[in-house]
Amino acid sequence: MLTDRDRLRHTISGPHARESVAYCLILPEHGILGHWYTWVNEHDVAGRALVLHKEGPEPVLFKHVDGLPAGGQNFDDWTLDGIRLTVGDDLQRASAAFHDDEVDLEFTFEAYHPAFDYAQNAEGCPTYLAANRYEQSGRIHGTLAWNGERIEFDGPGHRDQSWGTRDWDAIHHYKWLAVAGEDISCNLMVTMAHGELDTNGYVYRDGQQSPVTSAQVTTGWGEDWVQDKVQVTVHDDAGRTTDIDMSRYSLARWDVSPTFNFTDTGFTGTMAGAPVRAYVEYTWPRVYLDHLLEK
Amino acid sequence: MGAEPFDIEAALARYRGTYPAGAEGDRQFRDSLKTSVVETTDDSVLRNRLSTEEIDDFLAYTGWNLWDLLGKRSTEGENSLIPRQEYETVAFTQQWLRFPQFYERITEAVGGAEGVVELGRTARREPANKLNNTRAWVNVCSLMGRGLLVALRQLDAHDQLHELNTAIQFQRRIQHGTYGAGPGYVTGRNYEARVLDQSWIDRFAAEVESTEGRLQECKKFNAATELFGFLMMFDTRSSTNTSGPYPLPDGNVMLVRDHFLFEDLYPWSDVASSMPYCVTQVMVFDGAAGINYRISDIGTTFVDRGDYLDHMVGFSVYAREKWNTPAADLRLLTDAEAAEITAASRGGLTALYRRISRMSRRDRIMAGVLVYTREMMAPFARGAGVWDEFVGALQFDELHRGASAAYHPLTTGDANDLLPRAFILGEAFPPVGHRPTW
Repeated sequence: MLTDRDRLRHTISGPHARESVAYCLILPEHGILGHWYTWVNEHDVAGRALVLHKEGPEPVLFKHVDGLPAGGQNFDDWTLDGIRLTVGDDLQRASAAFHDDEVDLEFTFEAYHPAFDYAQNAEGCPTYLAANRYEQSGRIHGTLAWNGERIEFDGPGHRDQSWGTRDWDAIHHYKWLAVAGEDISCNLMVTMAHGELDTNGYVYRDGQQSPVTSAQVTTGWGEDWVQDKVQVTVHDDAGRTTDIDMSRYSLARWDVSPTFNFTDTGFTGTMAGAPVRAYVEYTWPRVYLDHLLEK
Repeated sequence: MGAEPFDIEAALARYRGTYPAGAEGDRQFRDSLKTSVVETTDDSVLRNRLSTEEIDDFLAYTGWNLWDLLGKRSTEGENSLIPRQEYETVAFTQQWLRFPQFYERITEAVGGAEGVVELGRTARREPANKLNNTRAWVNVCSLMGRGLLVALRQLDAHDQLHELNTAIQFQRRIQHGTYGAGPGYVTGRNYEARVLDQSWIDRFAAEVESTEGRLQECKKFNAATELFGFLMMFDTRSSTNTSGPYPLPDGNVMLVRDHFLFEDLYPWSDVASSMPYCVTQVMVFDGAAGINYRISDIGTTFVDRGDYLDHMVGFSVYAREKWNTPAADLRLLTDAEAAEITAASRGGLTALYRRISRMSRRDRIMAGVLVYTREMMAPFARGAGVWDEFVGALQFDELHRGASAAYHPLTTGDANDLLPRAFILGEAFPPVGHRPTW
């Protein structure tokens, strides 16, 4: 069970231990998908990144620094090489920023609904992914000044926080969808790992949040094995069935490690008939993706 | 990259205290690798992507290869007129930050990986072309730029994996085209760079003239054109390239050496406007002299006798008028024409010294950056027909912001403690390792 304390750092240990906080800027009206990210390991060594995607396949902006001393800071007042995060007093709101000589980004996050942690799913939070992790959609409001433009944005977005082991190479493949609209959202993570299929996430609609119990995902593949269309039928613990139907508007494909690839995409479409936008991440072992691409 | 002091004598004696120079060092280092990436095959150069182990093996061997090369270059001396270390290191960073995208554009323009291999085969088909055996090596400079940026903490070793893969595979494809299957560096080929097709060797052997009564003039031509080309290209060895040694049926040995003179890529090229683009020297040595001829990866000649030119028994010079003059039009020069070029080279050298001495230090550094980046890209891009696009639409000469940031530490002495370690200890080639971005 999450508490307000979970907005802050956790005690982590073990192989590949780290804690991360991500904010997804899903801005189809500007053709942009953004990813504000920070992380810290058990030795208090931290990193930060801002990634912006447009048509792809390469990110149009990739600002990444790792190996920074965190100095014992916590997420209620976190500053690190040009980024800032203030998570407030509860699990409902935050403000964040990224500043350097090329980019100025400021935004606030106001949750649409309570944070949902993967421990609530029937099989719990997968051990290769984290000790626990929460997902939450909300209104993201702010400005981005970059490349000679100043963009104001205000609409549905998403955040997550994850703490514990992150063993990328234990994963064969996952589909992670953060789908957000006004008063409606879904997070779904379907993962092939350890020889099993794990399903995590929630559905939030009609004012009720419920854990995902199962989901069927149909992918419409575009060129180079990029997910162009995604149709999902998701079942939740409240007995509801929800359909999501979306099409891609942005792409960034890059390797998070020499062996593990992210294909990150921005989507728009409908969830239970309501307009939504989404950050959709498919991952592959690099060697497997290369095999597919050679065909 | 640390900055702890190290014993430079020991570092020059054995690479990382373990590996010797020369063919024995090559053998020992290759034995230490986990993969065969420093050799090329028809299949391995076509692959889109190398494994992390292959990338790290390539970087590791390249560190030894550079150390081996620097040991041989140590007698070159310094030119107080040209701030070479400064412009080279800035150019390395510029190359790393921009060249991978140009490599990809060239690959696209020539129809893919096989087209790049074919581009590398130019070295076999044509003398007097900068697509030569030196160009099978020059990507090492881009890789050094990556290492310097890591040392300056502008990059992490595991950043830009895509670009690293692109750069190494581009180089391997050129190596494969230049040398054929097998070791991609000449250090792995017992320092023999026999790249020219046999038809050229046969023609040169048939047309070569005896040095009897003209040896001194031949040596003067060699020295004058080499010195002029060297200064023309701001002290880069790009101005010369030797291939060989080619054993001849009569027991003699042939070296084929190009000196590039009128290269119109530079604002000061007018000094050479009366000279041909390139002169190709066919140099035949007395096989009975027992001299051991070795060629480095940057196309320079190393011999175990200081008087090797005195054993030259045959010498002819061919001219290629422009860079795009067909190779079939390579023209054998008369002694009188060669003497004119000797005189023009000497005059050009004086004029060029005067001009460069009037340039500010900043201008000399940036002129060197211009040379070092254009020399290492234009031959590929010209061959692929995209050089004008690079210079125009893609603004080839515009300094990348990362190279601009590296300019001051690399030119003011602030990075001096990094450079010997980078080049002598191989720290310019940090392995990728296996580490996630986050």
